[in-house]
Amino acid sequence: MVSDMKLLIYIYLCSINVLSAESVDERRFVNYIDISFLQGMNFEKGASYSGGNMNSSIGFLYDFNENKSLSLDYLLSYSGPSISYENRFFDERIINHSAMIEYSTRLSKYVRLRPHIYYGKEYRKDSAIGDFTDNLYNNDSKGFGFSMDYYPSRDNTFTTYMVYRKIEFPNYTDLLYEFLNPGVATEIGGGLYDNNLYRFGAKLMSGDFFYSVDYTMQRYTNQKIVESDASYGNDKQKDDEVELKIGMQHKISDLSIYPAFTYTVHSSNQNFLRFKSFTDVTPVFIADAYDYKELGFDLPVYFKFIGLDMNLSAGFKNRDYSKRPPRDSENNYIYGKKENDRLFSFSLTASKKINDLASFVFYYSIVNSSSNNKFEYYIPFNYTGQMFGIGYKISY
Amino acid sequence: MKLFLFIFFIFSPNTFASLEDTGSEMVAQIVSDPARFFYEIKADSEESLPVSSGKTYTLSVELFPTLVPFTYANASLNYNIYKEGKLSANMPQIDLMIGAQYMFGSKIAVNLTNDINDANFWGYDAGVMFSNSFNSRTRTFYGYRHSFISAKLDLKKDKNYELLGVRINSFDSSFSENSIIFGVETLKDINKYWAMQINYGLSNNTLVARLSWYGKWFELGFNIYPEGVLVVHPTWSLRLGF
Repeated sequence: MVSDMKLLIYIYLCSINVLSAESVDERRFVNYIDISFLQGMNFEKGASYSGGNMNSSIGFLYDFNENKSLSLDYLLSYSGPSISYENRFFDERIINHSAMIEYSTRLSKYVRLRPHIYYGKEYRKDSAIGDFTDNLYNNDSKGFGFSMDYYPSRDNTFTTYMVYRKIEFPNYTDLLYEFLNPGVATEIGGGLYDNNLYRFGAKLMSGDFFYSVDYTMQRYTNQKIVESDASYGNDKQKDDEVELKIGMQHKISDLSIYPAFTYTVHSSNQNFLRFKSFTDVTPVFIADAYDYKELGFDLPVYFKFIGLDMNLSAGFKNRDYSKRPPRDSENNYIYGKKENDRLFSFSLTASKKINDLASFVFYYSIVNSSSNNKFEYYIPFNYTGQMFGIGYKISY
Repeated sequence: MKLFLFIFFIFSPNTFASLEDTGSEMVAQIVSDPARFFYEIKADSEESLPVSSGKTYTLSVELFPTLVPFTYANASLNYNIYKEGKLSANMPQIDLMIGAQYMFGSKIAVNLTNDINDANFWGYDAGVMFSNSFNSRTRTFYGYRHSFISAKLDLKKDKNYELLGVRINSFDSSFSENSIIFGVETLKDINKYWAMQINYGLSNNTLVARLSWYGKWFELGFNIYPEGVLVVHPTWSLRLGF
């Protein structure tokens, strides 16, 4: 795909953040609602399409007493067509909704425990026509988790947690089998991508700084690794990821900055077979094709300027694949090199309050993605996109 | 009318390719799932705000776009069965919601043209709404609604019908949705409210964000269907509280 300049006009329609509570002395039951919604348009050569995002949640909290509470949180998000790099490709739509019940108990002045149970669903769609029911990547997840907060002093908080999720992909079928056996009249069940996810993490907030480490393991229950002879091996797929993060918050008069560095190491025993065409009988085998190291940097800055609440935000990501060579535009591997993907983003948001609740929002953003991989039939790697927008925001 | 079309087109899925291409794509979307399209028009008329403080009923009739231009006769009634705090400070206000819609224009079209054997579009909805006050001016609300629509169009068999290059076929389909609703309402002035809400359909993943301003007689707003044929629906309804 040739790099296209895109113009996106976004309209923030609303963002609401309300904590509903009457007199705390009288009411043990409180609820909150948080909604942010934006709708915009993508412009590109010869065509344009609308896109938007929505993030919302509703929560209910019941306080048994000052040390124990039970909460139910429901989260709903929608991500529409966008130049955002969160989607796999520009036209993809994602709906995600989940519910979590958490019990919180303070064991002492210094320690709080928070176990939870979780259930979520994710739906995807590849274009405007069709529905969300039959996408390959639709998944259900359920599980539980456990967090412990430790407050050694007023300026220090240490949190450690573990999370388990059973993630099921009911539509994800055996693509390799289907590809190698076209026309075979066989019933191929879904669930090939089902996996168990385990995540462990710890975070220390000390003064203006924070430090975190997260370790994620995904163990696939059915998916086996692909071998060089286009058959499945005996080992099942295993993915591991370690993420280190360090950041700070600093305030200078009315200016607040929140720089953060992230370093990620991802490894998988899964390999990759490149079939150049439907009749390709000599597919190319790439071992450990999904291993990479990624360095990220984010710098959000908040300040006031001529009566406007301003947010400047810059971000950068650099991903180096350990084994995977890049491909040229003809889908040929360039051996001797390793794939490198870079992403730069910059955004400016200016909010003008029009009353106690509402603000107009003016928005600009630019995203630049570059890679030495020039084969972009499925996923764009080299593009520059821009977004302009005006909007309306509610905060309480 | 031109302004109305402009607003609809500017948020259509493919605005600047050309108006004809845009129209063709929209028609293709409607033809691929006609009941879903008519559900979105019907959904505009579904009342999903809590009964105002001090009132027992809310009666609403969607004037635009459900009644005009889509000729859906419609009415929604919300009935308050419990006022917040009456028995317990923790118990929210509870309202029951019902509504019905019937497209009388479809029958007129059958009588006026020889191309249509039969056309029938009707629907109903029912639900329950809860609301909690944050203070005297702001409250959150949340609830559930079941909606149903039947959409039937029977064209004469001996002709081929096309609209903007897309072949139109007869259809006889229904669409039912089970939605969760949550949002916030703020009193801006005497009898002047602002509200924002999300409706999400658990059965078919229909999604709409609603922004509305309403007073003693009328409600104005925008309904945004990010996956709809027409993304933004400007709305105007008669809304009376008793």
